[in-house]
Amino acid sequence: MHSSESNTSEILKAEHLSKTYGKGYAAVHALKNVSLTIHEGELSLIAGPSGSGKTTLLLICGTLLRPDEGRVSIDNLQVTSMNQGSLPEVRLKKIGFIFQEFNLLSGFTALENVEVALNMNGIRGGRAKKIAWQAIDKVGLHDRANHLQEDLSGGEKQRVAIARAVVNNPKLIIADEPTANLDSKTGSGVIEALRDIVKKEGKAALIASHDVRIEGLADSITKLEDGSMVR
Amino acid sequence: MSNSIAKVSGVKTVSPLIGVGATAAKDGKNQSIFFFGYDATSGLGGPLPLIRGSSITGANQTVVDAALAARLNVDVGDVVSVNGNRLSVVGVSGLGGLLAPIAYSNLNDVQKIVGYGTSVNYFLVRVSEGASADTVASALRAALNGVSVFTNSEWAKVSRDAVLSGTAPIIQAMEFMGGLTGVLVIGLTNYTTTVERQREYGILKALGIKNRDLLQIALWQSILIALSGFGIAGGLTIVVVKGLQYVLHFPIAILYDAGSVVLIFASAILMGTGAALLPARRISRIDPAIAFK
Repeated sequence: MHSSESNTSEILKAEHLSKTYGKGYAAVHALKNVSLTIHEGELSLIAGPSGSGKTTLLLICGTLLRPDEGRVSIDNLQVTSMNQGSLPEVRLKKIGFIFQEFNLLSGFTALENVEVALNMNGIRGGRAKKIAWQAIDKVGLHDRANHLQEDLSGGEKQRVAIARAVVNNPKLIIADEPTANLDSKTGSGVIEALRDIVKKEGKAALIASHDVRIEGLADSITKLEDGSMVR
Repeated sequence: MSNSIAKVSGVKTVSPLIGVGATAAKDGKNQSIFFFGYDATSGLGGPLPLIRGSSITGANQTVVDAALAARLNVDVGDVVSVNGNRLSVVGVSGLGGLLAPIAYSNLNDVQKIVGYGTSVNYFLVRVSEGASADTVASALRAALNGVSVFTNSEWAKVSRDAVLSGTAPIIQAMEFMGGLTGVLVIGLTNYTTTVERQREYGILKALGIKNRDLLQIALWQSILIALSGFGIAGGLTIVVVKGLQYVLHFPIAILYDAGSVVLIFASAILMGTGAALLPARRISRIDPAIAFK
């Protein structure tokens, strides 16, 4: 990995991103010249209707999809030009993911789900357990740590997902519709917990959501429509 | 010949033995057998162990092994025909032949029934106390021109080799098919598990796990399945063989040594490794973007 820029407050910088799926008549222009920058301590919302390109933007910013045009820097690291084999390490160390469907591992406890992320980062045994406990504690699930993920409520699962997302201390958190499967009170609690972490730990969060209630908690909003920024 | 053998230094007793192929029959059922005639007085070469009845004490008596008793449906007190000669069953032996059942009779009866006159085809020798079987065997070879002499262990090896040489191609073919089946079963089991959990693999990939680490998981799963099979098959083999030996009195033994166990263990690991290829290929193709769907 190499640093290409020196602006430390910029966590995510996406410039002129374009992405088209398919070819010819079947081509779908998912993103058209989209740019955004997120700084340390910023919670940024990507809003827009279904099919507007939100998920495509998250996938590109999360290094899971290459743009046809444009480039992405994460924590001053130019990731769009990196080879495919190097990207898992970028995701592991620089990005935390939160998904709509929680995506916790079945058959694992809340604590173990967080430990897995540490294990992937080479942290194992007692040290991993200790760090995982701290992360679980941070999201207010100390009493539920040893419960299987199947026994947790939706809000608890999403809090475990937040703990998992931040346990390796990434600079960027990417969340895809994190409140879509939660009631309004639980959803607000989850976003507030996430916002707390972002502010206190100097991280940046990029959240794609339909949920208008998040708009009040976001520091910046990027609206997409048919793959283009509308404001 | 018997006298010549007895004169050799270290020989304690000599006992003649006949072993020939014959046909046993009862109630219209025929069965090819090994028919042994031994010196009923010394008992050397006779049936061991007796599980029912008694040893041969006189003429026109026979001891059959459990396999022959089962196949002809005979037991102590019945009469069985061997090459057309009626013999009374006085005992049933637990240990029989691998390739064919065995019946034992008095040496003279067998010589008469198979038309051997006064000839025999084996002599069983006991060595004197303190004498080495190998040394006596060497002395016998030197003294008896044109006669094959074996110690117990040498005879066991010759018999074993004879059986294995006859069945080796079949066993090798079975081993190959077994190995192939094992690889396919392990591979498909692991592949099915991979397909069932592909979303979780995709999530781990999205979170940043390296392909190499996921492939290691697939490899370890395959090897663990193979080694579980190794353990279960080994245990089942012992249980089945013991069952055949002690319940059905089937003449079978497990022949193994450290080398063959290590070889099978290594083969199991190799099978597991080979079987990991299919799920590994699948894992490497899982798109981590699946986590967002």
